Amino acid sequence: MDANLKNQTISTAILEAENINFSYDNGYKVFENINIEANSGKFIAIIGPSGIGKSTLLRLLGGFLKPDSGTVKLMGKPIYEPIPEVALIHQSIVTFPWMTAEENVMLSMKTKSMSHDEMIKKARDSLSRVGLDGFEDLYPKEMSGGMRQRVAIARAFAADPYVFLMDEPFAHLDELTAEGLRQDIYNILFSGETPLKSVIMVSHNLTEVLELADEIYILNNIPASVVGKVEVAMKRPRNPRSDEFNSNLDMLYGYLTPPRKR
Amino acid sequence: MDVIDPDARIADLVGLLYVLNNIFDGKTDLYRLEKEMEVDIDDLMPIVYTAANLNLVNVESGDISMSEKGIEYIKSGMFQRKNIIKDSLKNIEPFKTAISMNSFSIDDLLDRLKENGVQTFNNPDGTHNLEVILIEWGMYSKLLKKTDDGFEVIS
Repeated sequence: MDANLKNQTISTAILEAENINFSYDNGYKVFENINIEANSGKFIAIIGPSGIGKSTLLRLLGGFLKPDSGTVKLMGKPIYEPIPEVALIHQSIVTFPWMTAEENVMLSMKTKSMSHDEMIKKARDSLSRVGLDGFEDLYPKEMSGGMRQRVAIARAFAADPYVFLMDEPFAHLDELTAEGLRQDIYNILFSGETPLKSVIMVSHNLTEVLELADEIYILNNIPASVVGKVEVAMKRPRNPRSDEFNSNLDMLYGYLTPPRKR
Repeated sequence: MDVIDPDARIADLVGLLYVLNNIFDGKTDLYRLEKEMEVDIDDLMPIVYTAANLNLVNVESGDISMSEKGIEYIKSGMFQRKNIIKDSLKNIEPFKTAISMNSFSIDDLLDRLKENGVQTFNNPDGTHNLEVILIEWGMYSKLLKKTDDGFEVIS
């Protein structure tokens, strides 16, 4: 095992999943005793083979699905349904084509008791935070994929969440755009200018995961369970072409082999 | 618990074996294979697991190497390759159950797999996916042939 990767020590969790078990309606058991902790200031990544249930796990963590047993807690309090403090960003870039960037962002504030002017100010602040100053009045069709994903992230920011759940957020972007956005995202997320405390991202791109994550949970087996959990201590920015980076990649693959238990 | 396998296409499997054998001399790290094949884990791992379940490669601790059977596969002609796959499929689901039924429809096989406690597909396309596996792997290897109502095991 690389010296930069070591077992994680326990600290106070912002979002945590305790002993989550979950089956689909047809009886297919997806998860067995999943335990995950997202601590303050940490970027968490969840990886695993295709079909293991990574997106389903995010939906459980966000309160969009109810586990068969086990609990999801936000700062110690169980959550049973989606709440504004936990924002989900999908892999497909969801923007409403008939709304401008600003109107798209304002959507996330509709349930708050804010004046229209306050909502506009907050929307512009959020767009500015993701680097979209001056693009407030553009419609999604006038923006690139990367810009639309930034709008989606700005919309999530505007709800003042404590936790971001990101489901393959760069999957539909070309590699150059994704690389640029990845570099920005980490700095934006933990700038300290928002209530955001932690991020949990699922991804099938191990390079992307190693560029961003502080801690990585590895899912494997059927039903899926956490087969490994590592802390990535490489300095930022991380160079995907370095020996240290490749050593970490090698270690992650080690958790995915031998093949699933049957 | 048994699961439905293989979860990859034959062409992908052959591609992996060729790259592993010809570029890496039969052994490498999975991350190097990922980079060489320009895929991510969602694409790579199903092929790796399939190759491992068919005993064509050995995988452990992030390393992958050709097994004796894998080397034999690469060196063989088309006819022998089909025999190697056919022989390997007999030990994995859904083919193990299919062989026990001899002749079956897709729905009957799916029911029997569930009765046997085999973890089947978890999505609405499961029946279609099962059919594709039976056709791609079963018929390719000449383990199965198609009938009007379903499939029949070739003795």
